[in-house]
Amino acid sequence: MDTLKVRDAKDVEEVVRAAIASEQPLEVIGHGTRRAIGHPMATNAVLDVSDLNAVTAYEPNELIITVQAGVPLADVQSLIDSKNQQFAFEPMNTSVLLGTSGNGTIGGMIGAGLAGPRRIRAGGARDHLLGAHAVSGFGDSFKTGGRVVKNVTGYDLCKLLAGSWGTLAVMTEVTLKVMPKPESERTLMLSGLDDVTANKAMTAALGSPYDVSGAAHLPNSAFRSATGALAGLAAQGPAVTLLRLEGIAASVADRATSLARTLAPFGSVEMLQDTASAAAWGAIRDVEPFAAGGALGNWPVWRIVCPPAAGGALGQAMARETGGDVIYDWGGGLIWAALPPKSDAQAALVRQRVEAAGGHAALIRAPEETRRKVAVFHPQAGGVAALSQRVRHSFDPKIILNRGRMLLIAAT
Amino acid sequence: MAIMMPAADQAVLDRRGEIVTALRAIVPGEGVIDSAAEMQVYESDGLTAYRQPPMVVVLPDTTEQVSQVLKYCFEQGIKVVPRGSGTSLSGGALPLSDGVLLGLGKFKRIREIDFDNRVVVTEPGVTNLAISQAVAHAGFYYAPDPSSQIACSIGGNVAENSGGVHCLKYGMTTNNVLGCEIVLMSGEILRIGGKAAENSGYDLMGIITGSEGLLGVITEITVRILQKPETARALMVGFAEVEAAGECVARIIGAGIIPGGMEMMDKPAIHAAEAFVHAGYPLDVDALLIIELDGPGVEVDELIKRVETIAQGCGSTTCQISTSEAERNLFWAGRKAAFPAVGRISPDYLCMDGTIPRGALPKALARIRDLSEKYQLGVANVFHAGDGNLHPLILYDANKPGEIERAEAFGADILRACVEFGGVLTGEHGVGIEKRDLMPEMFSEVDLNQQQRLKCAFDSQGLLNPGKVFPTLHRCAELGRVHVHGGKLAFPDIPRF
Amino acid sequence: MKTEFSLAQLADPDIAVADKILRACVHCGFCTATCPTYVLLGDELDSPRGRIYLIKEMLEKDRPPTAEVVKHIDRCLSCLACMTTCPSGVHYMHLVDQARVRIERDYSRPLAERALRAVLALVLPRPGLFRASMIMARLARPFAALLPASNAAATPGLLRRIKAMLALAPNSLPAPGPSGGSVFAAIGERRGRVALLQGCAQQVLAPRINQAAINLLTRHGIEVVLVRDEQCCGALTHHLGHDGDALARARANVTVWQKEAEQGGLDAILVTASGCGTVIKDYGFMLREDRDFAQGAARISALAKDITEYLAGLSLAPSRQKGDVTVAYHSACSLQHGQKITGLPKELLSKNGFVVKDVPESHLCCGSAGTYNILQPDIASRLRDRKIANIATVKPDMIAAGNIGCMVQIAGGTSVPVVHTIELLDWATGGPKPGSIGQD
Repeated sequence: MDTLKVRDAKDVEEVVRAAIASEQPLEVIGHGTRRAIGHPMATNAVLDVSDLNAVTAYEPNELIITVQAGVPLADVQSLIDSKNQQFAFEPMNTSVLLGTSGNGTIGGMIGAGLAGPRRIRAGGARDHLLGAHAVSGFGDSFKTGGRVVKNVTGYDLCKLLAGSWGTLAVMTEVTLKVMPKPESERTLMLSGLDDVTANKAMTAALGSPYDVSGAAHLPNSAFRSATGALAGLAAQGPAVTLLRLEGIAASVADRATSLARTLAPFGSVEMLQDTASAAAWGAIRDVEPFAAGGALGNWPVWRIVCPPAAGGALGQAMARETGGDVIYDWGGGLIWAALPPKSDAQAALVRQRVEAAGGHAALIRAPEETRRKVAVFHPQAGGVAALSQRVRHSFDPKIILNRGRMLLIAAT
Repeated sequence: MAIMMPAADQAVLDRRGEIVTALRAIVPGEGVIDSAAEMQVYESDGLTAYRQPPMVVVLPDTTEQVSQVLKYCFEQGIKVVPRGSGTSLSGGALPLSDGVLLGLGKFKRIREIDFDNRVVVTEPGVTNLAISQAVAHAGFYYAPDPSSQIACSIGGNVAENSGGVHCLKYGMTTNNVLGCEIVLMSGEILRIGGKAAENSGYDLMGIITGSEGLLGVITEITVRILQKPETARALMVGFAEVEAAGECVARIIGAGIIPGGMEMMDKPAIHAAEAFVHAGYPLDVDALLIIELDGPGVEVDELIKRVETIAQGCGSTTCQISTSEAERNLFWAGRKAAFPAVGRISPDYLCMDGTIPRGALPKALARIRDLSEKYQLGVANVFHAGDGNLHPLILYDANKPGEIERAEAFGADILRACVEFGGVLTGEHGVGIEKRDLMPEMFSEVDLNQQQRLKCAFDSQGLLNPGKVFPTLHRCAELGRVHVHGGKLAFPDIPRF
Repeated sequence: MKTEFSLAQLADPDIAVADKILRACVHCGFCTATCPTYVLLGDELDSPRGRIYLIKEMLEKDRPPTAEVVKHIDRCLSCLACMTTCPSGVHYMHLVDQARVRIERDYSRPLAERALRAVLALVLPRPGLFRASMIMARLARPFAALLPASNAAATPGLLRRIKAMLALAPNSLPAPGPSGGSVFAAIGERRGRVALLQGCAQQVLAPRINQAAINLLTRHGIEVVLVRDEQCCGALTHHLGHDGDALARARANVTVWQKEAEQGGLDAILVTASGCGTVIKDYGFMLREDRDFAQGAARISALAKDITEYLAGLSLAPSRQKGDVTVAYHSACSLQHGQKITGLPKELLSKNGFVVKDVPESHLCCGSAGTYNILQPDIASRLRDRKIANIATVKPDMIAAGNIGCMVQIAGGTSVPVVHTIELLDWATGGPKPGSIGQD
């Protein structure tokens, strides 16, 4: 299979047009770190944008950064970190879960749209993408959005690009919003709560005025494979519920006291400060308990999103029924579930339970054979599915880009 | 009217009687309005420079009625223009002479308040403020607060992706909406999203938000609610020069402080607002910054100190800090009513809406001053300084010949300048008809075609709100054609491995 | 907004006033948010902005009002919530008053409706006739069940309206109070002298309101006079568009009050029915073009005070209330929007030992609005039910209001005692505990 390493947007246009002309679908990659997410693709060549890796403009005072899509995410993160800024949505580092090396490119970050714990407060990748230049499946370069946050000029195509897994257009340059890093952080921990009670504790915390920026729950079984930051917590034994507070030091201290009082009905709290706190949240963000290199490395992993107050009951029931392990983030609204290996990853059961709770489930990690026969992304209701297809066609009528990745049956 | 609208379909107009009868069968009672005198009140929204009575007004009560009305219009090739509270400042609800004006004003119920999931499920005709009021007893509120929030509908907010003073810290409508029920032009009713933080598949909710009534008619919305911050206090800081105020804004953001809201008003705006609200606005400063800091008490106290220091460092001449909730609201009352308060100093005004990078604020204001000279029309400036979103209010008197045309030309020049300075045509009011013909300033034909193709996915016949946002209408078939270039198999000069 | 009056039209002083009002409107739509009919019906035509538009069209084209225009203007409560909300200072009241006059003059209503309105205009302002009609209503009430109930018809029919009227009549009528010409001396040192508006409907339905006012005032050294030959203030006929009748009453009242002021001296003309207070304070505007009465009317308007305004300036005797009575304060539209008196009555009650609760959606009318609850019974009852549900959420022991119309309207749908603010203040400073209205 040919890999076409493009140098600029013009190259991208040419490659796409050639692909259209010859009806040869393309797999679009940056570093290819997330290739194993989605269905195995029905593509004939690889379009590699990793050479589009310049930082076009970084304006800390404007809270924006414009980069080419192939820039390594890690490089951008250290650049903005040097100015005490961050991507507030805490993009997940998929290398831990997938066992790849490196965390890929900015384009991949956007296409995957996997946001971390702070999504409950700061939103997701889609809330931070301000503008983009991209090449559509028509082979045309187009731009959408701009370089400012307040922008309602025309349709918000950026929202479609985020989380589209490269199926709509090939991003060449994007503008993202950056936010100041908080001065300090602290994590309150409750121990020994069952999933449903933990869910209630997280709900109480998120319904408080103390500006909680992370709410996660790790049942004790999640610690069987604890490594790194969570190893220390494993010493606690029972389950751990974590609530994060960020901001200026005096405020964090004050809020911690208030929040502890609010959580008193659930038990007494212990505190993690600064680096220890950050390490724990990094581990939650990257789903370390289910790391590819860990004890559950060969278990399929589901990423379930549901109404937050329903998460505890949903996860607990599912873990019991499937024999799997779950960890909770987003106050109960995001559940990672690792299930004992079965050829269909127990998809029918998982999806039925999840739908009943008002959520959806994506099979983020699974062997290729499984991903060939099980719908990776949650099947949509008839009308919405048809609309989504029409939307896709409006960008890529010949289904040239990442054909077969999002839908089980390769669409024509 | 200066703006061209799509040509009226005479065949449809000829069948008006039959159409009205058919619509009455779907929406009984007073919901179908077809007398010229009554339809006239619907001829304009908040942008009174443009007026057009519709062919007929329909005010449905239920989603099923909306679906049947759209289905009927789809089958008959009749255009439809949706309307919320009619407070749009970009002409989004301007009717078409051969179209149905579909008003969602009867959809006034809040369907569900779910504190555990921190969402409210509401009908689109509920006002923005009513949502906050409905959850206030539990200490919650709905964050996006456009200044017209007392009257604007949440459905309209979703259509325009409305902002407001607090969107600097809490995001715009699109960052606060989780799902909706939408009726497509075909009559098909779809449910998008729900109470979960994100949807599976493409972010359809994200594309529907800000689509200005062109992609579908929204009949239910699920919004996020937040717990009110422990405390909120406002500083009102005066500067002798606008540039100093702009510098202060930049420095506050540069210091890593994201205020709950940061607004600027210039002298004419200050005077108009003060006349209405009597909040004690200083009348001798050139620029007034109202900065709100919210959060836990300890944090707010600290941030107030930091902001005060920064303001003094930029040469502020006055500084007042609110000491009570009532006082804080009073500081804001004038700013929030600034647009219509300007009605006291001028019979008419054109409210512009453009965004520029914060750093370009002084440049933009200087250009607006020059244009004011050029066009011989006064202008009062109110803006969301925190995110560079300008609202120059061009003052004119429609009763004086030529003034409205000069006002529009002035406005267009301001928007062109916004794009020139690296910004965009509209920050929160939408393109509507007002800025439609300026779209080519920002987007190439290819860009616009891509957007129009998306429209085709939702409304293949182009019957929903045509004539808004996009300056030219294309047939979907024409847009959908893929041009095969050259037909070459591979390009030799691209490195491959 | 842009207006299109010709110079000839603008020569008419009423049109000149209308033009000024219309040009202040910028069509922002804020007013729709607080308009009770828009809140209920969701139709721009039944919003202040829509009505302004309809009136503008009618005045500019100088055409007779059409049935549609009349329908929507008739639905206006004149609650004036829109004026409180409007940031541009549009004087909606003066505009809609003009429209009503024009409708009365140029529009031919159906016979039954004309007859009903004529009867209302004749009877309500005349206490003798009103008293007689209330007695008859009590006799006719058993037959009300035979009359049509609420339906979704665009315009209520005559029978529907009669049914509404019967429902409003009280079970029993109290004995009449003191007549015009009575003077009530101050107890102890005389510190002031005021006239107390006798009213029309109020003196028949609840003379105890003014009795409480007299008790309270005299107790605090204020001499109270009930001016002889005083008439109904004209609000009722004014709002029916019968300008001639309303202005005649205004003139008559200005005359007798001026005479009283000259002869005995008056510090104020006190009003216990806020619906009247708003109109009396507008006498100056209403008679501005009348060379003989303009000045006098302006002076009278300046003298007119709602009773709570006047009491705020007195230091009241220490209260005997122990803080165990929770009062839901119903803010009458004429008081909060018409006269901009919002916090004062609540402060008075609270300072005098009552636990005062605000009612949710307090800016929304209860639906009484003069004769509205008779002429627009369906909208009025929806508003009443909404108001009562809102009041119920604060679980009050009593409901206090400053306007007789509101009191009757609300009492018709709740068993919580409904009293006038002044009755509570009288009770606090030594008077009797008030019962609910209609239960004397």
